[in-house]
Amino acid sequence: MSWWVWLVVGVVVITVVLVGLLIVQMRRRRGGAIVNQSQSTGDRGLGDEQAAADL
Amino acid sequence: MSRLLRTSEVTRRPVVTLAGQDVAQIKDVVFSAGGGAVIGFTLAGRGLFSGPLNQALPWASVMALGPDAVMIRHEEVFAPSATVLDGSASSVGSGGDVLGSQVLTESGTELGTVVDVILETAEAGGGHCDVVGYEVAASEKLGTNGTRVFIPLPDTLAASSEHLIVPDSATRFVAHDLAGFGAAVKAFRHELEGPT
Repeated sequence: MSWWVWLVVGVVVITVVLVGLLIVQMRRRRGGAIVNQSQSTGDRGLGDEQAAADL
Repeated sequence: MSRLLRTSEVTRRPVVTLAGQDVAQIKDVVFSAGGGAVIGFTLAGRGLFSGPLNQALPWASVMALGPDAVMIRHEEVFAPSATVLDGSASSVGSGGDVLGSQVLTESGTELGTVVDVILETAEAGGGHCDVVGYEVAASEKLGTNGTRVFIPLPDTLAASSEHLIVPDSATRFVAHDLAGFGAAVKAFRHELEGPT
């Protein structure tokens, strides 16, 4: 095969790998809403830990 | 005063310290199955190629949940992920994610699948942050197959990552926009409390 065929194949392979990596990365970073079964209530108050520490 | 917002509006918000450092971004919102209170957030690193972090941001350490950023005092308030996640979720993953879960009534009627979770948070600092409802892709049972509606939740939730159970009466308080949803939640909870 001539050199330009290898060039096209290489470009296609690199593009597919990059797109695949980007898709995997986007899925890893995708946000959600997770329910925690072990805690009945959360801590209340914005920044109340720091406020208590500052007193 | 309080405001309603979707969890999808909170995720990907940057976490910024009072010194102005952009230290992480919000990945997941973690809430309690018992009372719906937000326990904290899992985090992802900043930048396209950084993945989820092993650290989490407890709600008590949040100074302000602003429209453009989540403000914290300093980076030391981050805690290990295990402090906000339980065994149902992996250390940095989304094992207990309710998005995509089925919503069922107590009598076993499927209302749809969760596409977003609605939070109620105080307008100013010093407040709470609770899950008050689900945004659902409605099933035929709600008569609006495929459209998105808002279903209010009682104070005490029954939720797992597969099924979310709501009282039968919740179907009478379904809202079609977020603006009217706050009143629907109040009316629904008032009815559940019964005459006093």
